[in-house]
Amino acid sequence: MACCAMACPSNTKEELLANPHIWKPGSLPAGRPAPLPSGFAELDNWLDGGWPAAAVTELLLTGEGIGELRLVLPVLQKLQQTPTTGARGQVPQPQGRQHFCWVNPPYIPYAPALARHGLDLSRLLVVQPESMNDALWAMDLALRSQVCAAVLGWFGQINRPAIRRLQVVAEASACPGFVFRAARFARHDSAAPLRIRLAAAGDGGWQLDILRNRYGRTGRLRLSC
Amino acid sequence: MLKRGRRFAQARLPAVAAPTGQAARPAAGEPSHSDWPALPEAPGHNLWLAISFIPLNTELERFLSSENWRGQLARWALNYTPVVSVDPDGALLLEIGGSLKLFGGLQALRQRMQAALAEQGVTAVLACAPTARAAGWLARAGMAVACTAAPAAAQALGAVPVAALGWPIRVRQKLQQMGVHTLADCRRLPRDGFARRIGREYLQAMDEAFGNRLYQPLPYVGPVLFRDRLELSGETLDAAVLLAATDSLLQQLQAFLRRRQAAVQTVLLRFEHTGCPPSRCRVSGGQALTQTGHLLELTGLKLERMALPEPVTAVALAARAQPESVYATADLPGVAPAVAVDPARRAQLLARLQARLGASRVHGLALVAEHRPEKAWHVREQGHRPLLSTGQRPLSSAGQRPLSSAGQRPLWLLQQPRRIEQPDAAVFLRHAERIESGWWDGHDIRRDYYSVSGPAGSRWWIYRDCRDRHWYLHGLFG
Repeated sequence: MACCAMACPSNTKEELLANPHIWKPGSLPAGRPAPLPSGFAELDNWLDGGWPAAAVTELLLTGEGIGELRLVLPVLQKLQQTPTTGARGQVPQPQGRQHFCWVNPPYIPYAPALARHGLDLSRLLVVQPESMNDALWAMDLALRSQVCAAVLGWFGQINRPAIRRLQVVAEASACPGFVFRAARFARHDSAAPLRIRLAAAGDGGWQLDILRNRYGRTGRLRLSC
Repeated sequence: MLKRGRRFAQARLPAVAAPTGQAARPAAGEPSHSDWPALPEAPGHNLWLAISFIPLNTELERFLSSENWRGQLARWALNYTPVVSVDPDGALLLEIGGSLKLFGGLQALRQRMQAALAEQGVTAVLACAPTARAAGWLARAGMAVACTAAPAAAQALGAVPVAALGWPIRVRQKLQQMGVHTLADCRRLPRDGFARRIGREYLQAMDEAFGNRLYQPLPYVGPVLFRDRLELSGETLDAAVLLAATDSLLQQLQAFLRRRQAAVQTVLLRFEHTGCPPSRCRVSGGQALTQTGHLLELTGLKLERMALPEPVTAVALAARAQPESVYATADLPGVAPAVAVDPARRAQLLARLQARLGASRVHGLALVAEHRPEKAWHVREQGHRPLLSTGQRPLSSAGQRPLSSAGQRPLWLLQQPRRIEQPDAAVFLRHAERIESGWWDGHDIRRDYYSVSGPAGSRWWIYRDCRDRHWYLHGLFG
């Protein structure tokens, strides 16, 4: 923004704020592609329609096996059924992205359970890199490949520029990315426009703390499955 | 006319209009007493260009007739047309009828080729004619003419001296004694007499030149294997230098592919060292490629991972050309690329991932009809063939369905069951499911599976081994 201001020093504050690249809290970015319904009506309300279709969503997990996959499986199912089409803004949503790339999953994604949840296994690509750098590189590549309907990545300690890069790539190639990290990274700075801390609630549901939300308000909600 | 020729001169007959069918038929049959067949008008759209090289001294002549040099020239000529032939006497024959439009006409094409030849320091005569034989003869005779129509070609051919045709000395002498010096003189002789006295093959050759008999020279077929080697100026381990060397080799490969109209899928790279056996590396693009840019990128990824034992002295590249399946078309500038189903992109993603991470670290998943949980799935290798298949198969097709009898299964499975303490009775959520199977292959199991609530609200899938009575964690309900 500094360079923009320097280029046109006569701009008033209002003119500057009219720049579509500046996000104002509570406002919907003009070029936001149609969100992806999450399968949970209440969550869709909070997120103004669903998971962002061209951004990185950071899910911070308070534990493993708390149903973190069940939260995103509905959207993966929908993505494989209908090729993403109409866009609300200018960002085009290309068709023909059929694959789901899972980068650095902590355990074996268990095929029988995935199939039972309605995932088409032939579209799944599991990448197991040796190092965190490779994992970031693989996720970056998958996001920009124009082949993936969604990319899921599991990371530990990654720095802000890395997440920022993933976010930029996801935005540019209009591909949703889900980053799973441990909840202790919640206090670390992150460039993801949507950050949710996920904890298990007693009945097999979840308690979601929306820490950062470009598409709506932040706060706590409970979901049951 | 000389003395001996008089007998022929007497036998000369006035032109008799032959029936058209006879004229069109190749004159290989009985030599009749009729005159030479009239030139058929524009046989097809053929236009041949012959290049005859003029040797300046014997050493050069030897060099020009060498196999290597001819192959090199033929490969160069393939830049202009797919139909190239090497004459036994060293001239090149190119069918350029189909290339004229591309290169902006005959004149432009000839100038272009002349310039390219001059750049290589070769003196050559370029002649054009509707038949390959005629073009070759005109070029041999040093007549740099460009006849596109048959009558013009016939006229030019008439002036070609017999001595320049490369016929044996016996034949040349005989013709000379008859007072026959040019091809026009030859055509004044009766056909049967010519066939009897001089030889039928020379009559046929003349028919081929004048377009009365089909002559298709044997096309030049280049090698299928591409091999090249680049000596580095110094020993180095610098990846950037090695990549630059590979780049120049790949560019050679690309030129080779373009000439052959071929594609390549895999290249083999060899990095030579002084003190130890060369390091080899196989770079696979995952699909048939006509552009080698992608291969260079993959090589870069490979080089990052390769541990070269010693500095490299030379880089060698080998590849096998294969027919390209589909012509890859680039998107028009300014037009949004159609992303529809693009197998090339899929293959590219896979090739890149595998090049950097290793083939075994990128895989798909598949089901196995099996009761033992750890054997109910397997890794689907992502080779070059199935490549993330397009997923058109319906979900419920055979092999996609897990065993229906199985109980609830966790989304995460541990690589190895982890031994745990006996859980508290309060945490059990579900009744036991006994899985007892596999006695036939030596990996038989007998386990009671439970789902229990783990720490922080998680749900675990644990079992008790009915043999050693220990408890194990086997999966997580993710």
